[in-house]
Amino acid sequence: MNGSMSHLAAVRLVAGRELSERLRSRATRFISVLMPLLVVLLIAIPALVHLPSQPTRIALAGPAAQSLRGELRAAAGAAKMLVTVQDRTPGQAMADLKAGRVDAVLAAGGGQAVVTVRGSVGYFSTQTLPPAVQSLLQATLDAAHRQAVLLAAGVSPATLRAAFQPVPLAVRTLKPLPTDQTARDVAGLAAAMLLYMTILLYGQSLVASVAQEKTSRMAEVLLGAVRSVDLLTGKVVGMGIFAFGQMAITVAAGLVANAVFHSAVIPGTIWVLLPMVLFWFVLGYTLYSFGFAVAGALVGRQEDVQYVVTPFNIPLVLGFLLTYLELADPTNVWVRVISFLPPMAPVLMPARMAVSAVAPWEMPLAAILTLLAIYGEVRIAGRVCAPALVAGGGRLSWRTALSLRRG
Amino acid sequence: MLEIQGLEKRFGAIEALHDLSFAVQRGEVFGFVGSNGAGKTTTMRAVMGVLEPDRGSIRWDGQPVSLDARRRFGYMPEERGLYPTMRLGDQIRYLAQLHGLSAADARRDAALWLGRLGLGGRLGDEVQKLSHGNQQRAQLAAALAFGPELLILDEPFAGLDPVAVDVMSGVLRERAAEGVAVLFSSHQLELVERLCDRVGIINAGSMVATGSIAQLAQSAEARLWVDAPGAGPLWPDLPGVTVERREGSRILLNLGPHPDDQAILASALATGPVREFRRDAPSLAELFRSVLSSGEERS
Repeated sequence: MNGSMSHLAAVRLVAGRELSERLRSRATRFISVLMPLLVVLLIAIPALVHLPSQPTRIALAGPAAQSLRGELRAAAGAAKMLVTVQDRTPGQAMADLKAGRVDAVLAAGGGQAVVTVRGSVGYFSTQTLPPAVQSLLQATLDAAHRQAVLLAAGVSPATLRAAFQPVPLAVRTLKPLPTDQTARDVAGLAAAMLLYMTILLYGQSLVASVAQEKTSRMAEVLLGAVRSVDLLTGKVVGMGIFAFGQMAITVAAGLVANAVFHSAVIPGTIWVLLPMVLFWFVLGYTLYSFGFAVAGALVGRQEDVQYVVTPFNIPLVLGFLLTYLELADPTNVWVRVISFLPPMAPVLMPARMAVSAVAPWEMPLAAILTLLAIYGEVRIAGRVCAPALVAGGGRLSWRTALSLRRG
Repeated sequence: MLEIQGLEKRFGAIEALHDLSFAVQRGEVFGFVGSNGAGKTTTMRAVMGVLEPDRGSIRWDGQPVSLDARRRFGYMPEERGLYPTMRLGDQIRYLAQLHGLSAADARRDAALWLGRLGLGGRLGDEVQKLSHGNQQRAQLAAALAFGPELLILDEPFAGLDPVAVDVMSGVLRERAAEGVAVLFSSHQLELVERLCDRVGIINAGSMVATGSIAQLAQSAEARLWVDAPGAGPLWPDLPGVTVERREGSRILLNLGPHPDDQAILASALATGPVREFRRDAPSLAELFRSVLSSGEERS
């Protein structure tokens, strides 16, 4: 037996145990499957509900209605709507409607027009035509009526055609946005949510794991063989590898699902955003996990976990909520300033980078500040954890923990 | 050799250890006995670095105890420390690796020790599924599986059935024979007496007696069992000799500070036949009570 062991070897052993025990846990395996599944469902369901546009099938019942065929097709073309038009006798048209072969029957005559729809009851009830189709038919009837009146008044067909030509309407924007801005907003929110959820979920798991080592008195045995900093680092690394793997699988599942269902437009900046999310995950997870690990060493029993994590959950939630403010107003100065602060930067900075253009110096500055915070936190963790892990009695306050020495 | 010198430790107003000194040699089983709260666990936790003493030194083989040295110590805390949901075999292997064994050696030794302690068929079970006694065996396996040079065992026999006690005792004797220093605490004084080469009695944070049972017995007041049926109720009328107890015709005599057993024998023979005449060997329990009561009288 060799008594000496490098920091790296100790960290590797602790991380290996953390990872293998996590993979062995039934609850973890369940969550590992559940998270990608939820993401796939979130992407697939909207796509399945809004099926690719099917043409609206309209039967024109009788000669009067069939005389509107040209106007109807022209109006549908102008409105960029998919419409198929079928000439039927009134009897055939109603039979087709009942059998579901057409969506609506248009009958006209005597200065009136009637549209008949089948109607159905279910998750997506249809008691009438979609508003766009109804507007289309109304515009067709109005146009036909005006043309008939004007023809009767002696207006020439050429003048009529010129008068009924659609006038194109152009929309100008004073401050043009990137064409994929909506996609970037969605990506920013998704990145913030992913970082927030992953850090929160696995940070809490880390607290529970450290608390278990303390309450089961395992820490007393471990600290006879491992430095407290190596023990914590190993746990952080082991859990971090698992969390990263979980996040990568979830992102991959989301991208594959989106490629299949075409639910959302992927912004052109995705290949810059993904490494940034990864980078900020590493920084954010490290920052929070050392704090969570120290929090775990403060508990007196497993039930104390919720109390000790509160000081870390608040800035994490705040960072995530500020993402919505960033989406609403990317020029907000407060959001910009807060995005540099280490507790909020890991969630807010990548979201800002996704949504709007950030200056080249902003991300490095936020990263440096976060790294400094991590350094300070590791120093505190090294000092506090060993005595806190072997301290008896109930839950320790932060003040007490900071004043502890072994014994 | 483990040397503890002048150890002091306070917890607020309570003085847990006061100028505590003793040593445990390699190859020796040292029994650490004392009342509840006497300072046994505090001493062991100080050796393992779980708490820092306020004063004093702890040395192993002449050097202050470092983390590298502690990796060569097997430790069984009073409140058992094992991961409840981890598989037994994985757990012992992991702890052995943390103490410096290679993965292959750790796997081999974990299986070996769990097998020896009767847990060979439970390697794949979670620790929380084991009985209290089996968890105790598992904890001992964790302390043994990396070939430690020193074993620090806090109440290792508490709650064990007689068979498990025999198994554990055999293992400790065997380890000592291999040159391992064994320091363990226990309230089972008969067991300590049977198992230990030397004993240390701690009271209120101070070591009040150390030595082999024979050495401790020598320091106690000499006593004699005498069976002289012809002796009258006033016998013996000798200076310094008192009767401690009578059991029929048998009398237990306390010889006082200047024992002269030949004078007593002559006096007994003068009353008639003498059927029994032998020194009384006090048990550890009696020595323990005697040491504690004399300490209380002094204070």
